[in-house]
Amino acid sequence: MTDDRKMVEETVRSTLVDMLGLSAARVAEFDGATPLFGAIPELDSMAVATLLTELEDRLGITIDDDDVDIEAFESFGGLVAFAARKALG
Amino acid sequence: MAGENCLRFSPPDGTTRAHILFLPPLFDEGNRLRRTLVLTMRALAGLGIESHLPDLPGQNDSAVATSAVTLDDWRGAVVQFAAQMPRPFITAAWRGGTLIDDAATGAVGHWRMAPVAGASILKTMVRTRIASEREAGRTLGAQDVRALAKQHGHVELAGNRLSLTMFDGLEQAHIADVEPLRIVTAADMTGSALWLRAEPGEDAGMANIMARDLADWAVQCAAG
Repeated sequence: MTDDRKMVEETVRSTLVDMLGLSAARVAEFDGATPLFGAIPELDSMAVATLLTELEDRLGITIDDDDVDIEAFESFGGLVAFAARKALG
Repeated sequence: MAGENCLRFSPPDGTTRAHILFLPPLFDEGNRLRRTLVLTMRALAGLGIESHLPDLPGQNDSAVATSAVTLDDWRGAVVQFAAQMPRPFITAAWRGGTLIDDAATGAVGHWRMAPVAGASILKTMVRTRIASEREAGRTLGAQDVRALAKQHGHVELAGNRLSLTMFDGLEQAHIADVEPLRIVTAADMTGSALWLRAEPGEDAGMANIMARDLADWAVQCAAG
């Protein structure tokens, strides 16, 4: 994994820690297959709105809402891949 | 503003070293942080600092409808809150509160946590509306949301009815330069961004550390 990709992944982790009120240790155990949207009750479509804006602010990116597919949020790996695509091209 | 509630915590008589005007985050973020802010106010009283947490018109327990207020109304309210503050005082603002803290005329200092642009606050609220429309099987774009505000004079966003003036005001709101200024993050206060929590939480440890940091800064600013 490149440093840039690792930075994106760590940003996604820290944002989830803040949003879900989970411990950093617990979120550190998330892997690509860890289910998110649909599996974590707190992470509903309203929370996804917060998550998108927070990722924009923390990663310095702009996300076009038309480009958001909720399937990208179904697993931790999907979310990191989505954020990395936006941040790193 | 006349008629708005203000929560105040004072130290025992004769021991007040400085005063702080609290300007909480706006909308839902304010609700999520409120409990921890009040814990901070209690801790501040124990440190000899009097703090005031007024309701902005249209927020918290205000009798004014959210749809009836504009960003300029909030700035005007801050001018009035500041005029009523005992001297010397500083402002402490979190998130969206930092968009209006410069209106506190007479403040001898400012303290900010995690400032956020008005456009970011608005964007999250617009996204929430888009998401709920999508769940109802309707497709709505960000531009459509503003068009709705223009058409009706107001728009419902994440449980808040915003006027077109407020919508545009937030879109353009920026954080003013003020001084003396101390800016901190939640992590600096050994806490986390409680205003983002999907399920509201509280953090007494963070409140105690914020209170100490605020007290030190208030006393330092009051000493000039």
